[in-house]
Amino acid sequence: MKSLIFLDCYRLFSDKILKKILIFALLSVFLALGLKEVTYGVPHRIFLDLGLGILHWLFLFSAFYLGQKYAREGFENKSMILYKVRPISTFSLFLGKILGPLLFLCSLCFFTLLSFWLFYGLLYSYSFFLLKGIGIILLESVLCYMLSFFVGLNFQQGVSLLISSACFFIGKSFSFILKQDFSPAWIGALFPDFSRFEFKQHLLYQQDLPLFWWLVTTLYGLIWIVIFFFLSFILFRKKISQLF
Amino acid sequence: MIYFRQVYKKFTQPILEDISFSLPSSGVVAVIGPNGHGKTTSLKMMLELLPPDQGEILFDSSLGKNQKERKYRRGFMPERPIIFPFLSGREYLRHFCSFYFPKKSKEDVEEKIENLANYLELGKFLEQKIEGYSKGMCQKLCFIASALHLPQCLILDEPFSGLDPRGRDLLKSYLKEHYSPSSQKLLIMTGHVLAEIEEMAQYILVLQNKKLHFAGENKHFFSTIDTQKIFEHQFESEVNIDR
Repeated sequence: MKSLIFLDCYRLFSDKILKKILIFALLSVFLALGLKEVTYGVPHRIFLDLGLGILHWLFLFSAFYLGQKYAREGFENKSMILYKVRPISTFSLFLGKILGPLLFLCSLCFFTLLSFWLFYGLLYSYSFFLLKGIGIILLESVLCYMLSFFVGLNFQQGVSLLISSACFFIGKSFSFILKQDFSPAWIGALFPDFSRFEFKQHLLYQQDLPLFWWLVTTLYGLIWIVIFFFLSFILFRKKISQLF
Repeated sequence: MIYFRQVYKKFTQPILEDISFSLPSSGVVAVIGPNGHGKTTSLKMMLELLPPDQGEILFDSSLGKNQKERKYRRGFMPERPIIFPFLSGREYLRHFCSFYFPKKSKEDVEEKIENLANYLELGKFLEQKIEGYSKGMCQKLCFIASALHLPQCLILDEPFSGLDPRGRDLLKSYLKEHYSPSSQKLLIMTGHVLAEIEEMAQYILVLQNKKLHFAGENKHFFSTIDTQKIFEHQFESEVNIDR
């Protein structure tokens, strides 16, 4: 399993699209830095809004990209047969396949966002609220990856990217949908409610959220991650049995 | 060592019907027959990747008590090399061999990789990325990945296709040395070149029209069976497709 994780991490370091994403992330931070200089009044808010916002979306995109790219690959290039004849259980194989890109994604998010936090701290002040927010962005990215991996097992690359993005945007608009009279209550159980992870407005205006909100949001994200993990495993096992 | 008992397998159409045979515990077994007549399917069944729809496949305890043990004692090379172009040859071998060897034997594995790669004249290319490899080099690499742990039962699907004459000779001599009848190891291979089969195999299985056409000793096969007829059906089907 470790060998599989290492292999995927290794190849991701040479992935051209991810390199471009990282470069774009760094550029966006510098852009935010530049823009705050030409802003009157609340430069730190501009820096946070723009810098964190762009980074957040880039990581979500990376999560969707990684999930849909690596879910089906082993089945399409038939490399799965080389693993199935070796002494490795299906669960370990699944873990190896899902954890490699996930580990890479988490490291990418964690180190970039931590750098952003340190940078913000150097410029203004070290914010514990921002640090907690970074944790929520990380959680949301992992959830997006799991969603995308699950969808990616079902559909081809381009299609799965579209479907998982659609699921994400539906989830983002849940706060609006659930307020409507026509929306049934059970709809909230179909997709993860991504609107629950919204915290930026509070961060920008320094209105810290209660501890209960952080706990519930984290738990909610973890539950959906576990759900997608098991659904993906069931599908992965089924696909392996159909492969030969 | 491996027993097929009245095995039946169907995909969209039946591919194997009432196949029964037992393989010897050592030496080289060749599975031959026209394309699409169940050779690879029967290999996948021996690898426990495919269960039979009817009948049963039994494995001798010398191959392992359970599936996990059997996987440790088996090696498999598919017909088409499956490669990761972003890795170097050495990295590829380290990756696939890591499943068979405990971590502590790292130096031992490196030595084995070096020895076998040098034997097959691939040693000097091991540091290169696989994307620059020729088909024959990929074939050799896949072979090393499947055979480095000296499996008790090695299953090779058309191992000589894609190799140049020199590569074929090297591979043959390696297999003859390690999978002789006295070695207590079994090599199961498929192929189409009868001269190679005659040279390598001591035991032959012929699958044709979903049935087991022949199972027996090499000498018996080449002295009694009209070998041209085995591939006649394939030739006829190909002509019909062309028409």
